[in-house]
Amino acid sequence: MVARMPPESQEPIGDVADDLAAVVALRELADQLEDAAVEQALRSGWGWGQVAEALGVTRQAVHKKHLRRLEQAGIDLRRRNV
Amino acid sequence: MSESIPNPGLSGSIRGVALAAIVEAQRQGLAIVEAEHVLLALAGDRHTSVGRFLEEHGLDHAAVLDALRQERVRSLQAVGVAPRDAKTLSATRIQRPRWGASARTAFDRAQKAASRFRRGPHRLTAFDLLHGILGAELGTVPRALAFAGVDRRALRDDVAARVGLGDAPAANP
Repeated sequence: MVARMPPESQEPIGDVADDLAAVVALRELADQLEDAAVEQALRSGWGWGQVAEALGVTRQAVHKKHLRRLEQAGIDLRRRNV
Repeated sequence: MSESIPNPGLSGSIRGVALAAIVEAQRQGLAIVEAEHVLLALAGDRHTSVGRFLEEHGLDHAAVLDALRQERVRSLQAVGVAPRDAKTLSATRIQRPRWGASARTAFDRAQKAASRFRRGPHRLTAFDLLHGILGAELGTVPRALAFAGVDRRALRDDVAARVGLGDAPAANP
């Protein structure tokens, strides 16, 4: 069994910390961008299937994630079978 | 517990801070409330002693917001990504954000410090919460403060002195 030393304290800024912070920032940006882009697509007349195909996910997945929000946004989501 | 405030015994003023933190996350279109949103909430009320304390240390709401924005810009630039104009990211959002790990940790640290250093029944104060937020060595808040030229450890010591948590490191896991 290998004894493990307690980890050294690390600084918040530096190569590794910067890469990890970039992951956080990219995730945040991706989430915000997905919400905005899906809403814009449906406002522009895209269908659920088209949005799903463009995102590379199933129609069910995009529907589950965004339907309630976009209904609340007042977007007419009828006849979106494409 | 992903929806409610991390501690059920919160005082009214801390509940107010928690609600303000939720609003801060919602304003940014985020689904998770993190420590930085709690910090923004604390800095956002100049009528409180902690709000004035932060302002006296150069960290009013605008300064904290700017520091956090700079942190995100630099983090994205580090991997070659240009930040987007916030206007292009606006979207309808209806869900109440859930509490993220950094906010929970800040509340936990604050509660431990308050429990350790006070007698009798105790509840979190806004300064305990600030102390808990400043206890993070890594992540968004310490990065933002470092980029803004703020000495986080010195600021935390000032908070500790203010609330009588002089030996607070023992309560910092």
